[in-house]
Amino acid sequence: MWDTFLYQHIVGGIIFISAFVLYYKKTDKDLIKAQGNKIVLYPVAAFVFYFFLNLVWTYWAIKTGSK
Amino acid sequence: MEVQQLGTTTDYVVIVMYFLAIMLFGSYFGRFTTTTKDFFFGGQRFSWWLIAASCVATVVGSYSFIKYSTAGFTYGLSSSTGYLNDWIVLPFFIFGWLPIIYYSRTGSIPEYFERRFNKNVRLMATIIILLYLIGYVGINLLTLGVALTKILGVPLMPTVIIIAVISGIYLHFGGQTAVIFTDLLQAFILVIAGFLLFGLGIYYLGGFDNFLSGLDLAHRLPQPPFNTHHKFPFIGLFWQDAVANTTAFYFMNQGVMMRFLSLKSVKEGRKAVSFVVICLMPIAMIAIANGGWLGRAMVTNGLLPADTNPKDIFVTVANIVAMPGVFGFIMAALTAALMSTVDTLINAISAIGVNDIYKVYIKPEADDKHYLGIAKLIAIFSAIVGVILVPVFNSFGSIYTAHAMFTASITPPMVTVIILGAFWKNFTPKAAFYTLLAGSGMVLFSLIEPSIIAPVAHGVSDEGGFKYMRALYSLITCGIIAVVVSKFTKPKENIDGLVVDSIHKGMEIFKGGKVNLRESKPIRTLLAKNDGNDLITLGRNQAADLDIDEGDLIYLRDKRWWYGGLKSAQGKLAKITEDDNITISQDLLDYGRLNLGEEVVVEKIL
Repeated sequence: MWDTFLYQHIVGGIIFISAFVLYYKKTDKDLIKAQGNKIVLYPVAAFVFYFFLNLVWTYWAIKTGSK
Repeated sequence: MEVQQLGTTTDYVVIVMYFLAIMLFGSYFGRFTTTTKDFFFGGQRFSWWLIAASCVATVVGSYSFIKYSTAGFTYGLSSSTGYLNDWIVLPFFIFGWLPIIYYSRTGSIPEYFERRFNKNVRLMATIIILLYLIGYVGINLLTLGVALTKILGVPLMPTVIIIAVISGIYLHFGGQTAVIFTDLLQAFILVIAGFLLFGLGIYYLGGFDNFLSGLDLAHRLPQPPFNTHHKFPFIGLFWQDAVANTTAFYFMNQGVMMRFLSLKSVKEGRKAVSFVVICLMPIAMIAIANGGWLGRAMVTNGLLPADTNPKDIFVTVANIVAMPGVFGFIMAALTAALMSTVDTLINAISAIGVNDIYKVYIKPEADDKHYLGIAKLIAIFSAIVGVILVPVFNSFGSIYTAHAMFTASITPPMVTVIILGAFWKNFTPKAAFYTLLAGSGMVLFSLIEPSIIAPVAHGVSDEGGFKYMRALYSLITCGIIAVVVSKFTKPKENIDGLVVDSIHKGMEIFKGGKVNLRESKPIRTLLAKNDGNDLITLGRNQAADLDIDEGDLIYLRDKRWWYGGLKSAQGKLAKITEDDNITISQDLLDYGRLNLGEEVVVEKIL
């Protein structure tokens, strides 16, 4: 039951992080600086939200559903 | 279970009133459409929340309530997985694709393909996308027509024609602006109807505890089992839905692309897509899938027979828990889901028809008024073709299946070409061409010989022909073709602004000069008219507050935020003056439908 959680966040996380790597490696440094942190915070917020949503949800389902 | 003639007269009245209201509401926005830019892109003026809501209305199709309720009944809460995995590709959209298409002023996906690669790739993309979109209009109309026929006992073709006429009328008059505003309204209706059903269902079950106790462990988990259900395996959904289809929705869907191009800035686009992914998708998921969850709890609690057909569960539950009028409202929501998807598809076909066929092959030199007329004609023509396809799809199940196979075949090659095109400057035109051609061929081959997918199947049984695992196989195959051909062919030069490496340059091309990225907050000031040729002038104090220079792009809108930018205008700051207000020319005043002497909100774009 935890295998799906791990696969989604590890493999999904690799795909997700590769976009950050490309952004910091390929985008003009002046533009990255001018755009500031907000542009990075949006996807990070999405990752954090879904990571904890799935974590808590899986834990809750196992704990309450197995009774 | 065959459901016949559900609902009461009150329900029919609610549905008819809804149809009329949507048609009048959508047609009202015709006054805001005077150019092709308005018709396709709504004039690049809208606020993020408006586009976010309309995106959700587009993603929720008529089949969504039926499909996700069926999955919810069979597999439980994990039916939500398709709506909760968009975060994986979100940064690719935010960092790369959105600024590329916005700043390059790309009117269509095929147009991007010509500028990034060459004419051959554009032609191939045009054919592929048009076939996909037109077929999809027919399928959406058929799906809803069949559902309503089954539920209300109304005949199929008249129902389909009425829906197509309503969508066609408001789209013909209002274009993208009508699509955005009707979709906003329809998004609210979808969500309200979905939550109304959920609330009534919980009440019917006798409380939330009874609902939860009706779901066992398997029905409570957020994901289905890793690879044991060949019809609903986690691993298949991950690659097909989370990676391939989500990328296709945000990157390849012409209708969604046009939505984001109608925004006032790229910043608004980033806010819109993030809000969709983090907030609206979970809400939409609950709204469309809860019928199935309720059905499962009803079966467990002995309120429904265990052999209830999963495909009928949404209608069955809605009919049991909803009172007269409410059932009609929920059925209207089902129709809203269709109309908000079909209007987007028709507008997208119209954009490709004008930008990629009419302007390129039939009449390259004509004024905008002419192209606007053609766009409106194509919109009507697309609706008619969609209706004609309904009996064809209905009579020949194989054609319906063929369209599904066609979609499965073209999505991974298109997704691969778009992602590599945007993020890898050494991806060559020939590689793009062969990825589309040979990649689609390889995917088609896997449909004939599914065993070729086995090496990447992650242990999923071959029962059903690896339906869900085809996406991973296709992405790998297309990726290999793209990389190998690129290594032996020459990349295109002069692609500034079309790849992630040169977005800064793309912004300068978009603006026509150096960009001003210094942070500043919007200001409020009084609006006046200038009599000269200057489009926009701004007082020195206001310019200082905005940290803006002459030549920068500026946006002004009505102070009432709830217009969402409907009354707004964008242009270059021509002159900084000693006055204490903002002045604009008569043309811009008319275009933005702004009122002289009133306070407007002004902000710097670039």
